[in-house]
Amino acid sequence: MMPAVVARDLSRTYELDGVSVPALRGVSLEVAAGDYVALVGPSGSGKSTLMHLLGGLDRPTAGELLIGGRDVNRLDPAAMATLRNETIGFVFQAFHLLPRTTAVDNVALPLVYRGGIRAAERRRRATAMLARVGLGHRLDHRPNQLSGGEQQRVAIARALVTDPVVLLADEPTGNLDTATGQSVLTLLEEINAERGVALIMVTHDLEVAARARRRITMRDGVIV
Amino acid sequence: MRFVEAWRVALTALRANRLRSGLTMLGVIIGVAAVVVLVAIGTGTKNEVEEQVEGLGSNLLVVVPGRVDFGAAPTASRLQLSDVDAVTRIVGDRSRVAVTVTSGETVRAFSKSTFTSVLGVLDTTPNVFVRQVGRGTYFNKSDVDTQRRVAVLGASVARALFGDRDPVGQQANIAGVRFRVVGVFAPLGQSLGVDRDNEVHIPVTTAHRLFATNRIDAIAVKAPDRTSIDALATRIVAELSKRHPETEFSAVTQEQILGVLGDILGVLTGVLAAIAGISLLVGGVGVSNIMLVSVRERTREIGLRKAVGARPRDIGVQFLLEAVLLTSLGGTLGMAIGVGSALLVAAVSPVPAAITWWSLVLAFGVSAAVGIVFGVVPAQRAGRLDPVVALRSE
Repeated sequence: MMPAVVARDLSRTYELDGVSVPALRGVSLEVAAGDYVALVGPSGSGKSTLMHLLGGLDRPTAGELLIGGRDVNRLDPAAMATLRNETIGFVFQAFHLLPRTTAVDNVALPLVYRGGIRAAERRRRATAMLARVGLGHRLDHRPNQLSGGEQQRVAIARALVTDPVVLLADEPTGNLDTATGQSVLTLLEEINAERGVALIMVTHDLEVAARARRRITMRDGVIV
Repeated sequence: MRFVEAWRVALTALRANRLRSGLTMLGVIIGVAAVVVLVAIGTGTKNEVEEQVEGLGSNLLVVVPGRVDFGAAPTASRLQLSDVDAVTRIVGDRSRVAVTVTSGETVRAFSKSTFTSVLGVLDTTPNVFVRQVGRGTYFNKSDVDTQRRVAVLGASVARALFGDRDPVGQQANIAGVRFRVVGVFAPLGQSLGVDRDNEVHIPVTTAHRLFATNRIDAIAVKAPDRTSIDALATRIVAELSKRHPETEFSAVTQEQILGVLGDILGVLTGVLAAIAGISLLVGGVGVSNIMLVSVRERTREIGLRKAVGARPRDIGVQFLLEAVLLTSLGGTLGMAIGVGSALLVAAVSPVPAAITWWSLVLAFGVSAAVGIVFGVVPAQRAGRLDPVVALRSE
């Protein structure tokens, strides 16, 4: 089976006021389909930069990166957007749901940008996904009518509605209390197991990281 | 599908900020309404003036000494009644030839007096020009031949001197000489702010003695039909030039007058529309401004949309639609207000206003175009936002 993500000698350098700041300095890794990886490291270690690259939100300065078999260096911004839409699901610490938009519409949003899917079909898929994350009774609630844990479940449903190859979770429990965080984590792990989607989780919580099948620790822009 | 979504998002965004959307639209509304109203007033004025010129009579031809041109020095007239006879021989019909010699004079009756234009004319004047006598009669050929001191008053002069009394048969004193009023013209109203009822007609022969001159200022001819105007003008000018080799003569037709007036008033309408267009432009800048604020405010939303697969173009179209929606909604409201105001102006004030379909199409088209032009920069900015940076923003 094709690996979900292949990175070879990735580096990413930011230009800040004419000064080059290396955030990643030669990172190579491979994430197999259905793998469960925790990405840990102190702040400034480059784990956020790596996550942005793995999520197709940013491009490497040098090195090779294949996401779902596609070479990121060969894609223009529009093709990158399509890549994100088709192969990657994001779960953010701050949920990033659209305000004034119902749960089912939030979940259906990636399908809107996929194009060619009728509104009724989008709603059917979004409804099914919300039922899977335990929010079948909250379809038409808006984010401000949902608890933090429920909002994160909506975000997870949105990340999964496109059947991605990779699920990228950036501190998914960071804004939640311990009990809620545990249940969200359990949900992510269940989905990883039942759908074969690779789960890459960025965290600084070693207890959370310990649950992953694999742990990648970063420091000063390299994997240690 | 993406396009439908873009419309939905644009509408939602506008509704979420009702007050802001309304105020932004106000700039466009005022601009479009101003264009519609001012063009309507310009067009209405033009129509009215053209009607008045056409109402002077039909197939008219006016011969004056000198060159009719901007910047040409006025020429002292050497035309005399003998020239009029020559012109009459060319026309072949005395009733189609009219003349004027004009002087500004004070006219008195009882204790009242008014300053007015006194025109020495032939008895043929009501036939050549469209002038209706409201009361009494016009003077006749024998009044002209015998230099009789009779006068026909314009409606304004009659009102100023006699008030509600009937002036016909009364005495009026023109430049110190006593005249008998034989008729009063039916009112004509104003034309370009000039009171057309402020004049007095007396026989040309009487006028010559009164003004101590024998000159004729202009000769007017009513051609039998439209096609003979130019040929007649050429023959008359040639004859007059032969009689006065040292003077140049010009023949002006009604169509030429209409053409010149139409040009002037067309420019006037254009200038009014341009001034109103500037306010529309300012409204467009307001739209641009608000769209930039909107992009900044929704940076995180843009980042999220990009993360889940929105292409730069999808985001750009969404914000462009929002701008176009703002301006075309504003344009529609502005058109309604403009049409309403123009109708109101025409109904309650003496200013004429005529709504033309092209001004409506233009105003709406320009407002929609303003939305596109001024929406492009914010939309591009939104489309090019780096998703990493956008998601990080608070």
